[in-house]
Amino acid sequence: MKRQTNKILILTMIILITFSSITLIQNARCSTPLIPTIGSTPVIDGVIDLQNDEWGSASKYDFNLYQNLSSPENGLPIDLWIMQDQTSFFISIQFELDQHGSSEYDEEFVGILISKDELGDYSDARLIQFSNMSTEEFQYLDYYINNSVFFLDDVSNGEGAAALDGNKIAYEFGTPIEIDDESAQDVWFQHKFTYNISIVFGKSASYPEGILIENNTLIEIQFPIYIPPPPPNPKLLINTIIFGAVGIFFIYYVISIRKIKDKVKRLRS
Amino acid sequence: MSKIKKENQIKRSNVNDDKFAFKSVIRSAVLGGIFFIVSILFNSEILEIFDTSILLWNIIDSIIKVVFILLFFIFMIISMGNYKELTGKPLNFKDILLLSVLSLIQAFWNPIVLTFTFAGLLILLAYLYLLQDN
Repeated sequence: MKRQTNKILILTMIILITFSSITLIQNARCSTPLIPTIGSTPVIDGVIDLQNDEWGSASKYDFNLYQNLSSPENGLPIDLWIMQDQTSFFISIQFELDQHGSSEYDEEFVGILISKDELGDYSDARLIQFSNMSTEEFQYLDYYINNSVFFLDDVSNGEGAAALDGNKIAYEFGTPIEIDDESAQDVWFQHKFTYNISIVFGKSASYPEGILIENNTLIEIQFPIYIPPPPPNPKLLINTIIFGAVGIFFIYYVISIRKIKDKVKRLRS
Repeated sequence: MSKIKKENQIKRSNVNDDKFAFKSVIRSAVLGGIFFIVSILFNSEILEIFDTSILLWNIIDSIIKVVFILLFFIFMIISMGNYKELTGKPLNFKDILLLSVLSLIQAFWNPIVLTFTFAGLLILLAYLYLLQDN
């Protein structure tokens, strides 16, 4: 009887441990990964070229940046656009602030902190740091993070740009995929891997102290799908065949006329 | 009239006929070529000058397409007929069929144009046949 009770107790414990571990794994995944769409390469200049449908194929999300992530309230709403091409991953962050062109935001920055895994242990940071918002002077900075201390990379990787339009600002980041950084100062983006990315915003050029608001998300880098070149226009092809055939006949006929002309001349003489 | 003079006159007349036929071959071929180029512009649908959603413009568009194909056919058959005359052979069935096919395929994109071109070709061939018969 005692033996049977022990067996039941052990089995119950195994079941409980299994369930709790599943719950723990689920908690570690802070959200469902965002999937970047594959699209045409945007120009990283901070300008969204609507006429050429730049960023048109990007996955678009409404996002909020918070002061305190454990009690998220009164967040700054941002538009988060993510996309990929065959070789790079792109992020665009857009938001609007009152008096955005004022000196208060002269040293504004927006950055993405990247973790090698889904857990959020950020080791890489890409920042666009303004030195003068009114004249739109900024710098793209690539840092690596060691024990929450930011160190400038020996070689800057990726690109970034920003542009202010009225009170609305657009930040654009581009980073290569599948290129291993030998110095190990950058996170190596690989296909089908999920990365925890934190979007940060601040108003003074000091990191991480200057970070005022942030939020994080998971992003799963996709395999670039081979987009075959568009097939030749069938109409053009059929037209070429049809009118080409008539054209060849006409050319052949003109050549025959030339030959008969010579023949007639010879006969006359 | 002496025999030599008569022969000379016949020879001169033949040369004049040849000259006329040859000129006709070239002129008709040039016109055929011009109508072929215009036909390409309209029938390949490179040039869409009419709003084909309106019935009237649609009819005009189709008429223009048919007319240019038939004009191509008429001038090419005149040119080929004279060419064959210069070579001393008559225009045979194969030549007419080839020219008819080359004219008809130009109307490939538009079934209405194709139908009317086919009807037009039949009328023209019947006319030419009857003309020759008479």
